[in-house]
This record gives sequence, structure tokens and C-alpha cells, in this order.
Amino acid sequence: MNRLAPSYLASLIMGAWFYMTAVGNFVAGKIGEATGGHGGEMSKDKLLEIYEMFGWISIGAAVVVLLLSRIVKSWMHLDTLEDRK
Amino acid sequence: MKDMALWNEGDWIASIAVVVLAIFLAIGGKIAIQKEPEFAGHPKGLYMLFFAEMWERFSYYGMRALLIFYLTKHWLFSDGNANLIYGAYTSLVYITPVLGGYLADRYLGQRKAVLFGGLLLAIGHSLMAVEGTGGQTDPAINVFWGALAFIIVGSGFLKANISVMVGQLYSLTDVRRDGAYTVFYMGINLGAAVGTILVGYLGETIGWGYGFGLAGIGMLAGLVVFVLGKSALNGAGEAPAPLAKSREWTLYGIGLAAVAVCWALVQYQSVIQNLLVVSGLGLLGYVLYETFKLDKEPRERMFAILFLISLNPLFWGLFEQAGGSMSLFTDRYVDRGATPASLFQSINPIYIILLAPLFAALWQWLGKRGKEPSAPAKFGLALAQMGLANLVLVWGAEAYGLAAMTPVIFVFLYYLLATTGELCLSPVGFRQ
Repeated sequence: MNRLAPSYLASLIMGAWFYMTAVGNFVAGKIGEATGGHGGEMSKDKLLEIYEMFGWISIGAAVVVLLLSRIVKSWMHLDTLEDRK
Repeated sequence: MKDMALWNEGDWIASIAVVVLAIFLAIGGKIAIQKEPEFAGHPKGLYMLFFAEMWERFSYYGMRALLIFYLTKHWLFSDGNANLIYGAYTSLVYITPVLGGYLADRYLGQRKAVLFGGLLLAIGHSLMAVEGTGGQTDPAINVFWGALAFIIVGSGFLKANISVMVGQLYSLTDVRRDGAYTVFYMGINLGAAVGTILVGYLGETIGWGYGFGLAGIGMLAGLVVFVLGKSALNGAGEAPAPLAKSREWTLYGIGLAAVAVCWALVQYQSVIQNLLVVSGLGLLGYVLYETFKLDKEPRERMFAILFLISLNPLFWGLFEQAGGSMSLFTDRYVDRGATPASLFQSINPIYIILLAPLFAALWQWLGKRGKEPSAPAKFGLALAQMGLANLVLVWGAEAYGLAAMTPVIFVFLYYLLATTGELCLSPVGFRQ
């Protein structure tokens, strides 16, 4: 993916990618915290409720991403991309 | 030693892991003592890095598989807080390699960075074994926070840099580079699977300290491999410019100061949250500023990158439930026989070892026919599978009733879909 960025921005983009992965890990902590409900103790139905909600959110996001994928692909301008090694 | 006739599932899984580890170590020993500079078409240095990283991942994932249980059962955090601490810890583990990579590229060189990181990790894992009496009022919990901080900073110095060293063994045009990373990637997953099983087994069946102690021993083994195998590197990973002793020690001092900072930070998860938001906005602002200076085509490419990057938190936010809430669920509500719950964290790396070659072949096959999904489409597929993983678990658990223990097959299906999702995503991002 850093192939897509101008070479002087490649490290920045790589850093941003890991940064957002780190954010994802923190988000995981927040979602996990939510399975504990208000009292902090997890129950089976609370966990399944949260998992179901985020399951649908993720599938909804997937549909949007797939619908947009053609446009985003065209932004990548792969035909004029020079390979640098 | 327990009579073999009395062995339960957990005993068998751990024994198989020991055998697999022994086989790989025997092969490693053969490569180490052989005179030829290459083995199976790759330089000895690759195998040295393979085993060093295998042991590092052994300790990291082994410890991580136990962490959520250590937090809830030993330090007696509520489930909610334990998940938050777990997430804060792993998020810091992902951020520090960016800084460690920078310091190594600019000043320290990768080899010394890996060595220093490995030392910090060995200290961290050993400190994890200091149990105290448990509960949050026990002063020993400060040692535990320190252990996490050492591992966070140690990963920062080691993780990205050891991957970079793999590439440095080859010239830029060497066709073996991709193959080398595939071998290295397998070492990571082998270490993750075996480490999770053995550390988790000891930690849950004998005692926390035994599990974490084994993780510490594993990290020390990795360091020994790395130090003894130095000659196989042929000068890879040295500092970019001659490094004065005073500057070198300043860098180590920065590392130790970072341990102190992380020791404080990891105890205050809301501070980490605020820092993530503020620096994330700063980073976004800077990237946008650079983006709008570009011409139309490179600018649109940056938009494509930003679009993909922005989806990361959702995918990983769900994927990383594995060692947190999913582990607690497996422990309490899954019919898992006598298998310790932490061992289920080995399913993902095992699936990766089995499925990564299939996915690589699939993309290649589709690519030849001009039908390989675009990077954004792969990201969409990854999210769809991660969402489906969640729903399959929910439907399975509900079909058998909330009062009944959920059959273990649904845990396997959950991790299968999460892994195939991950495999759609990983070629889009960066191979690490």
C-alpha cells in the first residue's frame, strides 16, 4: 500500500497504518468493556447482544465499502503507477 | 508426571506442541552447526532471525493468552476494566514499534535495537511472574504494571526492526525476498501457536508464575539465538553512521524513560484514549495538509489510502476481542472439556499457517485471470467475514440456548471467519 504514496510520504503512511491498528486495539478494549455492562461483570446475553450489534455494523460497513470499491479503486490510478523498488 | 492414561485434552495438546517445537529446534540446530552458508536456498541469517522471532512471539503471545485471566482472576479487575486494560496495553504495543523503527533507522541500527528490545522483553516477562498475593490493593501490582511497560517498550525496539533485518539479508533485486518473508511469517505464527499452548497450559493448570516464567525463558532463548547467530547476519542491521558510545547510551536512556512513561500510562486508560484522539487528529491534519499539496492523481491515491486506513479500527476492534471478551466467553460459557481457555488463542495462528498458502495461491490464480479483487474490495470482504464471525457465534450460542454451554465448534467457526477476514486484509496493508 505504501507503493501508492509518494516516496517521501511512505514512512508517514506506514506509521499512520500502524497508528490506526493501535486505535483498533484500543477500540477492542472499549467494545470488550461494553460486554461488561454497567456493573462491569460480563454476562452471556450481554456479550451476545454486543457481538450481534457489531456483527451487523461490520457487515453494513462491508456493504458500503464494496459499493464504493470501484470509485476508490479508480482513485488509486493503478494504470499510471510507476513501480519503484 | 501424570500417567498417560489419565491425560486430558489439555495435556495432549501441550504434549503435541512440545513435539512440534522439538522438531523445529532440531532442524534449527542442524542449520546452526552446518558449514554451508545456506539452507534450502536461503542464507543462514534468515533462519537465525526466524528462531529469534519465533521465541519472541512465543513469549509475547503466550503471555497475552494468559493476560485477561491474570487481570480478572488474580488482580481481580472487573471484566469491563480488564478488557479496557488489555486493549490499552495492546494498543501501546502497536504504537511503540513506529518510534523504535525511527530510532533504529536514524541512529541505533536494527541489530542493537533488537538486542536492547529483547533485553527489555526478557525483563518484562520475568517481572510478570512476580505474583504477590493478588488483588488491586497488593503493592505487587506495581511490579505487574512495570512488567507491561517493559514489554511495551521492548516490543517497540524489537518488533519492526527484526522484520527489516530480514530484507537486509538480500539485495533489493533478489527474487528470494518475498520467499524469505513467507518463511519469517511462518516463524511468527509457529511461535504464536506453540507459545500460547505451552505458556497458557502451565499458567492455567500449574500457576501463573510458571506460565509467565516460561514466556521469560522463551524470550531469553530468543536473545541467545540472536547473540550467538550474529556472524550469520554478515553485517546486516548495523547503525547507518558510526555510533558514539555516549549517543548509544543516551538512546538506551530514552528507552528506559519510555518504560517509566508507559508504566504510568497503562494505569490510566482514559489518558491513553485522549492521547490517541489528539495525536490521531494531528496526524490526520498533517497527512491532509501534505495531500492537498499534491497533483490530482497522487492526491486521489492518498484519498484511497486514507479511506482504507480509516477502516482499520473497526476491523481490529472486532478481531482483537479474541484475547479479551472472547477468551472470557470461552472460559465461562463454552463446553471445552478439560482444555484451558487460553489455549484457544492458538487457533488463529494455526489457521494462518494452514490457510495463508491457500490464499496466496488463490490471489495469484485470480490475478492471472484479471479477477483479483481490488484492495478496497478485499477490505470490504474482510469486514464482511469479521461481521459474519460475530453473527455465527451469536446464532450458534442462541440455537443451543443461553442456559446451555455453547458447543466448541462455534468458537472454531468464529476464529475461522476472523482468520479468513484477516487474510483478505493482510496483503492490502504492510507485510510485517
